Amino acid sequence: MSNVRLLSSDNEEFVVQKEVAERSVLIKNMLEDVGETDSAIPLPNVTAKVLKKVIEWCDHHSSDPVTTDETERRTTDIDEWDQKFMEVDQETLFDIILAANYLDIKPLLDVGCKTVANMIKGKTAEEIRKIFNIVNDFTPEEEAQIRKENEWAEDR
Amino acid sequence: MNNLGDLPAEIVTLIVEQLISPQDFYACTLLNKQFYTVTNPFLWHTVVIRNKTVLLKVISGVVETSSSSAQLGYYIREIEFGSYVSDVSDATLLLLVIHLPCLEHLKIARGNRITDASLQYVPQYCPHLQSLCLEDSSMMRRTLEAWGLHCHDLTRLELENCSGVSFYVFHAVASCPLEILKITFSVLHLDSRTGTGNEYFNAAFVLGGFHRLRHLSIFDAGHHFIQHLIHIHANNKNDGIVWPDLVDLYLNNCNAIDDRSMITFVQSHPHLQCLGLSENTFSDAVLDAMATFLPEMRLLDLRASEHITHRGIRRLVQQCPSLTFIALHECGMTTHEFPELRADRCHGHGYVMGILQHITEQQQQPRLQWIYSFALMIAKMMIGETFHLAHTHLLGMVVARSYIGGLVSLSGMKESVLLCRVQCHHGTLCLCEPGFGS
Repeated sequence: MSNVRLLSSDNEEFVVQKEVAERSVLIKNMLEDVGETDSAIPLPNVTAKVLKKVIEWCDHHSSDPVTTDETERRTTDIDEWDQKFMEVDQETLFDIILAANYLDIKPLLDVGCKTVANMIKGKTAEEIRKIFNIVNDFTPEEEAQIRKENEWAEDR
Repeated sequence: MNNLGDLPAEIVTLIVEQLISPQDFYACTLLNKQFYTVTNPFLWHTVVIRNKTVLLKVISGVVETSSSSAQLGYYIREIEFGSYVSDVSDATLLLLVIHLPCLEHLKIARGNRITDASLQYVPQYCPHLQSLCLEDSSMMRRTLEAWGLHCHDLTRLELENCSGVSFYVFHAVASCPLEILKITFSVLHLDSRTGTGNEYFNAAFVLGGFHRLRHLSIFDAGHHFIQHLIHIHANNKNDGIVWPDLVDLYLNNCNAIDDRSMITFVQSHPHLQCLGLSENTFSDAVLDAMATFLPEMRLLDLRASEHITHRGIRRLVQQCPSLTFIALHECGMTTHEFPELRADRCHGHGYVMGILQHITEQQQQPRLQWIYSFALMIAKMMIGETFHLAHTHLLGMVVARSYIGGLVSLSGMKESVLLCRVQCHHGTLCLCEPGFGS
């Protein structure tokens, strides 16, 4: 089993089994384009801290079958291991999501987005803003207008 | 630091896609501008109008933005008027649909004030309609003709108790690529179903032309028509199998179908999974044919069968590995004929019903799971997924009396049953039967 070297944005090198690294479609394509190479693959958008987490995920899921069915992938619940894996602070969570997006690891991206969605569900706008520290960039008039237009969906 | 408010739109989209309830979408439209832009199309994609207040708010949202740059009506793909909205008039419907050019699914659960005056124009404003579900409206030929002419994408048509709907409906929409067709003829307009043998034959023949049908329900069409329908399509040797993809078939008034036709039909439709053939006079030979030719059968409704016996039922159940539900009430059978059903639990009212699956179970399947899946299935039926809504009260009653009374102590069961109560029009009265929840 051949290994691949990955270089984080803060210049830390990770040696990873090829099949683990290839959970990332970006890396898979790179390896196909470049062929056998000794040099490390630079990942300028991912810090060592996040890359370590991502590799941990890829390692655990290295033998998962690839689900091509979009709807199936989207609707399956997060499994227990992934739930535990995603118990991180918000910053790390969003870093993982961004890294999964950049590295093109769809199942990890899904898990991340589902985790955030679960944190949103059942809450009011004010509660969500508070939890995620979101700045309300509407003018009071704009917000009132949206409330009025979309009021039908408010009733619980 | 990364913040939910600053993520790229593509990722916000992926997050919002995971939400389901309109309330969650609503909350997200108010977070910030980015979330508003991403979420608003999701919020307005599916609009379920549960009461008059919601109706008025939706109309005002759609109409008021109709001349602005952000026309909310463009987002609406699916709109449903629930059964508690009694004020949908032709004027209201037209007022809305003229602003919904991308509408794909229209459902009106209580359309007693909806007539041709609006219905015939719906396809002109909504050319991409894929499904139309209407209850209790009145419509004449010109509406059906307009749909047939303009709805090129119509894959689902459900008309329940709509006065004015006769066998002509099949001719009118013959050019639509229907996959799901459910028609319950109006019992108040019996005359619309009386016809000559020739008319029955023609209507049944046209119905055979819907090659893509996966689900077919025809209720209260009268036994002559049903007889013709099964007979000509069972014995059609020239044009190949009609409805090769048919998975669900629900019929009543089956008492004129002969054994031979039914057996041939079953033989030529091996993909059938749900089969409702109530009020039939079949012998056990038909059950044996089902056992042989329908390996995927999950649900069988043989309510009010006159001649089938418990021996036939037992053979069927033993041979069908996928069968999880069978309805046998009004068949003159009693629970005593099925000692394996734990007769002490089911005090009969002249019927037996249940999941007979466990007759064949060698290993002990956890009982809890069994009851739970049963409850879920009933819940699904109640909301009309696998069963016809007009009959939900009957099911509810049967379930309540024979099973729930003895067995409920499971939270899962209660949850499901509650779901039924919320969703089912007629359910409330039955699910509160004495003994329920005790």
